[in-house]
Amino acid sequence: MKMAAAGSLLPLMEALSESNDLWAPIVEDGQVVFGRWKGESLPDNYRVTDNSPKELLLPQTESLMRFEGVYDQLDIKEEPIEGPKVAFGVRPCDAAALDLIAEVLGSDDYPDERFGQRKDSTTVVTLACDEAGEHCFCRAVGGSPASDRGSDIMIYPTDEGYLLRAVTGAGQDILRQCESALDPAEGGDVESAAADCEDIEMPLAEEISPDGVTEDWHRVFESPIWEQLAGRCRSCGICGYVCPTCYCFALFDDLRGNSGVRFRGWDSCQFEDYLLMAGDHNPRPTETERTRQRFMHKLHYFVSRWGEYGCVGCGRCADKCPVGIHMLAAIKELEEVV
Amino acid sequence: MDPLVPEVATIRKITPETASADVKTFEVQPDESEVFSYEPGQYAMLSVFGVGECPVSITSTYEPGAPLEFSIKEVGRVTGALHEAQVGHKIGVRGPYGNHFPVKQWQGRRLLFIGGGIGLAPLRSLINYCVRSRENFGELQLVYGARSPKDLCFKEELFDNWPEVSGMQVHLTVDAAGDDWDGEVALVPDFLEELSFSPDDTIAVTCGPPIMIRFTIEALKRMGFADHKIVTTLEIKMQCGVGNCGRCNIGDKYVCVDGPVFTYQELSSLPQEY
Ligand code: FES
Repeated sequence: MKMAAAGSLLPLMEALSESNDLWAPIVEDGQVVFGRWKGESLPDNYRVTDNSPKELLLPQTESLMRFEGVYDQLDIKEEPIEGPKVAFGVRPCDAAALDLIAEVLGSDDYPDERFGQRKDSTTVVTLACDEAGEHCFCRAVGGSPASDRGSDIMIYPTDEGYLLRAVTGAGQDILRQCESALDPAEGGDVESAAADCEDIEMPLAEEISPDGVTEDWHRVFESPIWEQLAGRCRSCGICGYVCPTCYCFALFDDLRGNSGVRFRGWDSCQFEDYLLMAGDHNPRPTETERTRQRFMHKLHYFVSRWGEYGCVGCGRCADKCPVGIHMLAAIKELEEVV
Repeated sequence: MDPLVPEVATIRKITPETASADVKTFEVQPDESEVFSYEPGQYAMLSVFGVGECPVSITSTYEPGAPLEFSIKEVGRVTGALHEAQVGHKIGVRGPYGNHFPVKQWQGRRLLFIGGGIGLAPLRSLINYCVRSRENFGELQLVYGARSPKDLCFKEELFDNWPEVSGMQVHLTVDAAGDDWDGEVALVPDFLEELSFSPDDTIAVTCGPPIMIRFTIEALKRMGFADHKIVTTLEIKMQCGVGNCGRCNIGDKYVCVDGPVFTYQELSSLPQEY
């Protein structure tokens, strides 16, 4: 087991960056975002980054292929995928979210190659939480501030320093690369460090629980709460963009002269045109149906398909929704109707 | 290769189906490979490069070496661009996707096909499958209607081929007609009820506009068809066709991979969001 000195992960990050494309929480325009590392220490007291690290695996926009010609002489070229990355300082909820997306995009029948290749070539170094933020509720949805799900290396903060544990072989390899930046952790007890993180106070997780709220889903589906909840929705889609588990995407072509690109980009079920079809038919025409879709997907449809919630409790939707329509509000409403 | 990247294919033949040519059948052959094998009821994603993609049911019935056929109504951006395409033009194809009509389970049964307008496209693949292995199925009945005689699709099969198949009957109707039509003038669900078929050992398969499907299901239920013996196909917006993009869910089902074929029993347990 290895240890990084108390107060500083910087030497470790420097060592990692020597032979890796390192991504980490960085400060940009006064915000803490997940981005390409620029040589600085981790921001003080960040809880989660504004954007989630999902964009390393599923970029907001990417080109899938290029083509020459429209109706004639097509020459299709698949777009190559970038090289391996190390994602550092990821929070346990966000690391778990990468695994949740992989359930869908990595499923056997039609695995998404681009996502899969990036997932395989991204080493996730997760920093366990020693404090819960205002909107954190991972424990209420099956997660934990010390969870190693989706991680290759775990870092546990302790009073004496950071204890490091390799979770996967890939994690082990990366740790070996930066041995010089680490100290041996004589007598360090990783289990008790993990248990300390595990046990941090998380008031919201005591307060709310989605368990059972969608059991009678027909009744929940018809409930008037959706209309009340959706009343203020501006269909801005920020909830889906910041959500670490939202993976919905759209494909679209861009044509310049005779050459074009087929892009894929994030989409949001909160947008009015998400399900708008030719002939102007829209199965979810108002904010009410769209809000319901968002929460039913995460709390019921995802569960019935993949056996777990499609939410990791990061609280970003609660941080960012300009009108207070978020998972916490939805769970509270649902708890009241069941 | 990424499942979202299509194969380039060439349009070999274009046949207008209706008098106004708002429905055309395209014969399509992939440039680099054999036509994939597929089952009746499956669909493919078709692209016009620079315009986009849309799901289209495969209207041909698989036969090694035969081209794919798609009957397409001009309704939006991509179908519009497909309608502008000419013989020899290139399009993108990927598939086959989705579930299919459970033809193996239906062996020995009687089948009642009920179609409206372009809804005959997915049924055609199924009907020709049954016609080809005629001995495996009981009596075949087709009830098909369109707005007017000019809007009936697949006329050669409707008037020449299918009526000649032993144990198969074709019942046509139109919503409105002039003097050039001496057949039935009625809406499909009304005509269906008038013809009144026995539900005994029979599967009813219906494809068409949503409103027609709704009234057809009501009529079938009045005729005594059980929910699990009424089968239909759903259409919804799609992006990936492979269960990855999240677009096409109805409740916990994804039309692109769990559908497009559903029994009415399955549909009844889903939210009415389609
Ligand atoms: S079309 Fe993408 S999930 Fe169904």
